[in-house]
Amino acid sequence: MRVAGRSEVRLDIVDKVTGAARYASDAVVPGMAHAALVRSTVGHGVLRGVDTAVALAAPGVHCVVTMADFPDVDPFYGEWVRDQPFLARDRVRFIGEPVAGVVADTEEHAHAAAALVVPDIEPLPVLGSAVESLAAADLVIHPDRASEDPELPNVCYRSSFEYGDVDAALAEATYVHDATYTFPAVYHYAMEPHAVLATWSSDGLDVISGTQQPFKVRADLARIFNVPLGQVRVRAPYVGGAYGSKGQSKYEPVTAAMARAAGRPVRLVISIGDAFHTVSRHHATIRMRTGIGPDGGIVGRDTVITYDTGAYADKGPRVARKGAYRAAGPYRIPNIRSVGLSVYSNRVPAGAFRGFSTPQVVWAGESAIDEIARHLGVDPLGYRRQHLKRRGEPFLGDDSPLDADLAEGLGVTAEALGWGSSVPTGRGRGLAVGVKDGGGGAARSEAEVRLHPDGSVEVLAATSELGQGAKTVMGQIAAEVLGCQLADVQVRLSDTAVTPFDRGTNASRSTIGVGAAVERAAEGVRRQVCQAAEEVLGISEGLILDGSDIVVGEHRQPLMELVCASRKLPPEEIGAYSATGFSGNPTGSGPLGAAAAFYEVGYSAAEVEVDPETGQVRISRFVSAADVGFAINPAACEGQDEGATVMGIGHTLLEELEFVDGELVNGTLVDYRVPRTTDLPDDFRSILIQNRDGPGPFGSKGAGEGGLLAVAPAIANAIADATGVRIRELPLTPERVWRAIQPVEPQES
Amino acid sequence: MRLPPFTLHRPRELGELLELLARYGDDAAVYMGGTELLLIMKLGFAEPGHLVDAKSIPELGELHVSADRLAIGAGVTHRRIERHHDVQRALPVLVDLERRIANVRVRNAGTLGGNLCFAEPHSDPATLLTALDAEVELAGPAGRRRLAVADFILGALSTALDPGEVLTHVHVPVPGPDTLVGYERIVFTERPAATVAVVRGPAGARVVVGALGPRPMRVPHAEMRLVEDDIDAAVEATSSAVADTDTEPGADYRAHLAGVLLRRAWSAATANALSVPGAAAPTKQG
Ligand SMILES: Cc1cc2nc3c(=O)[nH]c(=O)nc-3n(C[C@H](O)[C@H](O)[C@H](O)COP(=O)(O)OP(=O)(O)OC[C@H]3O[C@@H](n4cnc5c(N)ncnc54)[C@H](O)[C@@H]3O)c2cc1C
Repeated sequence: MRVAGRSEVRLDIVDKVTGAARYASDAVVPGMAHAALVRSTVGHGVLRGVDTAVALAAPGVHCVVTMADFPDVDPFYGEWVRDQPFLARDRVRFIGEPVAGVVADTEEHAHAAAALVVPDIEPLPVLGSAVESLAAADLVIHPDRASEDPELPNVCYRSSFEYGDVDAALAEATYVHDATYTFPAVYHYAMEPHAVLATWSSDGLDVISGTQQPFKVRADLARIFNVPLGQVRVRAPYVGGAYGSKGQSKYEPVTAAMARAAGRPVRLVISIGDAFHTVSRHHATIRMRTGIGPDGGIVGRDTVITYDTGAYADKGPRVARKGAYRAAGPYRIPNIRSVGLSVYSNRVPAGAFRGFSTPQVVWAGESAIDEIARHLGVDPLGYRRQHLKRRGEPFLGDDSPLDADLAEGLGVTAEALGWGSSVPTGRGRGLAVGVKDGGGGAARSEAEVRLHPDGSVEVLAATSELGQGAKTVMGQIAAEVLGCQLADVQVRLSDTAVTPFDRGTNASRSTIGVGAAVERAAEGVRRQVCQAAEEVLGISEGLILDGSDIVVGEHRQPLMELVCASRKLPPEEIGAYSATGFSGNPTGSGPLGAAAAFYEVGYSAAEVEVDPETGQVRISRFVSAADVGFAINPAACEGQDEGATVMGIGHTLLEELEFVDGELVNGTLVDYRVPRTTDLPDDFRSILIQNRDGPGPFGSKGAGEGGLLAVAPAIANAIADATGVRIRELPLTPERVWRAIQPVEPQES
Repeated sequence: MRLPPFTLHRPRELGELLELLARYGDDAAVYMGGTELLLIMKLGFAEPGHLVDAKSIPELGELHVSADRLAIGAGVTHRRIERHHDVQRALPVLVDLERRIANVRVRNAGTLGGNLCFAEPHSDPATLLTALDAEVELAGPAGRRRLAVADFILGALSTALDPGEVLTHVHVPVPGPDTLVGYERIVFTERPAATVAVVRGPAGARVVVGALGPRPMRVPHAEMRLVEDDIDAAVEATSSAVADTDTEPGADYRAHLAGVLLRRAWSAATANALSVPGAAAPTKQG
């Protein structure tokens, strides 16, 4: 291969480094006004009204809107459960929920006027966590929605999977390991907060938004405002990071509503503080019981996961379902029952976040396996290798067969860490493996490739460039298939009016979904060129494109001449070769209703040093391995794997959104600590496993989430190895570790 | 998270600064690096109508190092201190501390004076300067005066500055070769979670714990134990002093940390001393 498989320099690197790259917040259109949102300072209450009179009279204000201004729209959005209005209607359900919007001539005027809006809220008792709302019998966060559980009114969604007879298996087991683990709510911290610019005209609604899902946003907007799909245009320029926080609708509906009311284009750019109050990763409590048979085999696993989805569903129902599905993990276990609950509370809504439900259940499962191995007195690596599913076995039920050699991959990772060699004093080692069905279920992706007669190429593909390097990888795929130089390929950013359909940049699916569509479109174009070469030159074998020339064997000639000769038209009339391609993962078999497109596997191995005096954990060495099938751009794959690992170190050692009675008390970047360069492992290695066994172009699989899945249990297992102490609550803060390692655990005063 | 409107003033000399502060009273704030001030204004905790930028007043930018003291103007940034060769020679422990404050962006703009005047309880310099018996020099409508740092910081975000008064200089005595100085901190989030400074000289000892209460706390019991060269007892006394004053959850951990930090600060102090020829070495070590 000439282009694929190489760490090509990113096509957008110069623009990004020089600041020339344009993001949604840079967009400007004539006549544009600026918006600010008024947010609830009450965690739960009845919204009796909003006094906008003073704000309306403030300097520069065009209009102030509340939900009362939109009697004709269906204001709700959310995946599977549509419960979130773009402005609060009759209730507020979390601190930070938008209750009104102000449109003014400048951002300053909009914010000044927003401070003058007075919502009239009658407070209700706050349900500060999923635990509280499960216990509350008669305080219901969504009273107008039927609960998923007749006895628990605050359950947003419930999902369960059952195979075999778990109760019997656990009853007969020789040892039942029973433990409860908790995982913190964490913040995505995309460097660019949400930004939207909406314009209404006789052409319909035009929205520029830093979104991961332009087509999903288009569908939401079309439904909410009752506009045909063809009259809604959503463009996603460069997006400054997303990690799940910019999926489905976020601020697009409210901005479009304000633009409609104001009768002019409206721009809304929120702050990091507001982004903290937009969406988070689910806090989860996982109770897991694992039965072991007389031969050490795992006979059954029973898991209940409670995901705190906050005030609105967002993607919570899907998170609960996927989490339940993935809870039993990649082991051979004949009897399985998993229940995933998505539970409302008066917290910031929780939704998609890199790994999507899986880091929580891998945290429990991979801690538990380690605890069991230690209980049995066997090597945690050997125990895992013995019981991991083999390539070709289904992950669960009748889902697609596993497309990875888990035991081997874990072995490679462990070996790179020096597993089995003597551990320096004061240190400990741990490892873990996480598996996630990749691709996000049933989905279709389309793409178009155009080859112009001067040899230049345009790829139209609706993958959002989030910083992951999709633009470059799509270009590499097209260049490889067409036989041209990467420098001659231009990859256009998402625009629903121009780029063909894709379901969204999430679930590590772009390379196998959109990438495969690009591959097929490029093949279509190549067929046309080869056909022309056959007609005109009589040969096409080994044809490549070199700048504006085609080269076939010894023969070199401008592409332009070939096209003219083949189409019998003068140069200015000949058009382009273009083709569309698609890829799809249809609904059908599999417990989730669609067979997994591939399995995203992440292996983590850590060597840590615990300071016995302070409880501080230093990661001395870390090895992460990602099974990517084939690395179309190895540097980009390593970047994803390392970035995911560092993000995992965040929720493992540092990060936790702290809520007190529903109020987020550390929602600033001074109080909320994300990993920095000084927190990196002293020795940090990333390994790419490439067996060309994936469904994507050239045997690739998706990547980007795997590195995060197993970080927390690998580190906790290493701490247990170093100290003999098991901690089941994240993050592993110094105080928590110190407390755990005290000979007699000191009572908190 | 937006700055409220204000008028910016740029006095060129101290008299002019004091005049502006007198004129606008409560509605004025001294603006140095702005690393704290602008942050709290963005958060809506302060809304001064007048910001008086004192950075261009030459007197406040002075930094003098002599054999027995440092005089650091209120406008001197952390970055200048950490890169200053004479300060490095005279008081390496201060340079070491300054280097670890915040991040380079904050240190480039933020001043030592601003740090002390803001009186944020997690201040690194406040702890060390208290232990070194440093003084602040103030100027106001009633003239100039000097106060010990220990008397200047009254509590969380509270100082002895009178209305219209400003800090002009920080005076730090340079410890002699017969004095040991050590400083340690532990950081979990952005600012230190606990800090400890220790000074042991011919005249006695100082043990100061910071970040665990509203203001740096001297621990006289630990100081007495240090004078007796009993570091173990000093560590214990430090932990008990924190345990006695801290009533929040997790106090036992923090009390323990304070002891750990004292031991480490003391080790660093003695190690420093051993590496300086002719300096005092402790007679007994814990
Ligand atoms: C992200 C971050 C991390 C930090 N981490 C640390 C840390 O690890 N350790 C640490 O010790 N500190 C830390 N700090 C604090 C930092 O040292 C201070 O922000 C800085 O020194 C303040 O100086 P300034 O010049 O910016 O003050 P300003 O913000 O300009 O002023 C602060 C306050 O003092 C008043 N003031 C300033 N100068 C005078 C004067 N001469 N006379 C009277 N009043 C005055 C102002 O009116 C204002 O109220 C951190 C700060 C930030 C933002």
